[in-house]
Amino acid sequence: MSRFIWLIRREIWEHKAIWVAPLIVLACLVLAFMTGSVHLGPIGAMDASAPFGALPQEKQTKLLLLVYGGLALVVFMVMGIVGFFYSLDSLYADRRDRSVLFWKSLPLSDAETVLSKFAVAIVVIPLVATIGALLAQLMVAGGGAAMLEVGGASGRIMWQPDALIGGMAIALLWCITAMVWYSPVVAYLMLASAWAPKGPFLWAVLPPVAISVFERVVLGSQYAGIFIADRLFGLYRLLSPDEPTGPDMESATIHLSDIDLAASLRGFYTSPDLWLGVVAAGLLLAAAVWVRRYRDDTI
Amino acid sequence: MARGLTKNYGATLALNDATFNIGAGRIVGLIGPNGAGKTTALKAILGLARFQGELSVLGLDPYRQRHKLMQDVCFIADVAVLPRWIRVRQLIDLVAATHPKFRRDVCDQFLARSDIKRDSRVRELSKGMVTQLHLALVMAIDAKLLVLDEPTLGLDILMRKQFYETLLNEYFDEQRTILVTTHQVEEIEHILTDLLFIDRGRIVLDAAMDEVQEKYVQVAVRPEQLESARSQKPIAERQGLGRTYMLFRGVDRANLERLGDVGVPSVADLFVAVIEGARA
Repeated sequence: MSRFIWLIRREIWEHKAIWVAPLIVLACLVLAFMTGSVHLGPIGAMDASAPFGALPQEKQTKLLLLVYGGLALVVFMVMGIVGFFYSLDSLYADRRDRSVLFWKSLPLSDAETVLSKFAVAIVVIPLVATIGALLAQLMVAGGGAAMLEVGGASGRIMWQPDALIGGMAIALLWCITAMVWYSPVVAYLMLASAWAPKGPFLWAVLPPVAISVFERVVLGSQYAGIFIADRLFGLYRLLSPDEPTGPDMESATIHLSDIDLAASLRGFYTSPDLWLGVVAAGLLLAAAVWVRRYRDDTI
Repeated sequence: MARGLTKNYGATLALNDATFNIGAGRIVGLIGPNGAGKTTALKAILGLARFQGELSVLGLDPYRQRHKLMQDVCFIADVAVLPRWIRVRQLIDLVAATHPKFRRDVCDQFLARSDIKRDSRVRELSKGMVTQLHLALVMAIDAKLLVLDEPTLGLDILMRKQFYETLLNEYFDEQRTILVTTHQVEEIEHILTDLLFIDRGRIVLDAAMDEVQEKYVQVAVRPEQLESARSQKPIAERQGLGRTYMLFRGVDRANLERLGDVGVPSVADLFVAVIEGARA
């Protein structure tokens, strides 16, 4: 097991973006506070004409929840991009620079190698994202409270549990949900990474695009396109099954505070889509291990 | 160890029914022209490529049991294959954590002799230093088989000499086997115990060095003996420094001594003769 930890450490040594990217997001946040370009409400609630402190508390909570949720979303999106490129690179970079010959000269099985990289993409990166999101939320809470105090109002509202804890709960929920939901995407990218003769990005992106376009042009239907889009963006639908229209600011505000969290979680974790996805991830990962072993285009 | 080893890339036959056997405590030179199948054979032995035929390395099937086999096999390839982004310290930690037969103290001892700094990244090291680093790692692993694929390519002559001296004096013993491919045959011929010549995927010579020296004789033929020497069917003839050198195989030594000065052929000369003979 400690071997596995070392393999994960290796990935973090190699891919600094995993911890540098969230630091950059946090640094930007600090910078934004210092230059005073942060307004606590994304929809103009911080205008002088409608001071935040003057709003009814229920409205304040909803707004703050939106702010905290939005912060987490930004961090998760950044880490999503990191994870995407990490997965694409994971089984390709060492073939490109031939260091795969060195890694394969260590007594490590290909399954161990592939699994360690999968674990980084599906566990380490989301965990880093979650920690980054929590830190961002705390920073905004602290910074916002300071701003309010300076303006003569009480900063306590920023720390109120309904908003802050709610926002953190959302971040954690996203973390776990994203791990499960995106596991087949990660496994697919890793398979492309293991297989691609060169340019894994194109090898990963072209087939689904080509299949969708082909289906649409030749067959006139778009099941493949919908299937792929659903896998990429369907998280939201699964988390709030009664909302068919997709994310928009207004409904998001309602959802974040009004949804029955337990019910939507139950809905999400009992949906066959999710578990079929996990099965698919397992199969894709097995294929990636197989390709990693069989590919002998190096030396 | 290998029987009927065959491997094809599409229509190209890289290994054609190659059969050979390498015992413990040998230093074997796998020698062949470019494209002869050397690398393919090494890849098969290292479990990096599929093949047809039977191949057993240290009693294991290299392809199916590669990760197990790698506990006892080390490998240094022609160009440095160490990951360029890694730091020396990290690399040593990693090998120590993943290789059960790695001895950190031995590695440290070898590194102490070089100018390699622990905090350097591999990409900041010179080519010679990368080879030294890889050699230090390999020397610290108590492996049974060491595979070297053009290990000294691009190194200066001092480095090359030092590389083989270290291997021979501080690494090699009766329990270990070294399999080496190189184009600079003359540098290693004095350390080899066995020769494996490979051409067009076939093994054209498989012999122990002393056997070779017994069987193959080079004669610097005196001008007046040329005709008589040719009648003994030399396998090769070349001109050099005003004399004609002929290579004989399995001809009685006493006979040859009458023709001129008898000597041991260099591996390079032998190689040329055997390959040309096999192709003819």
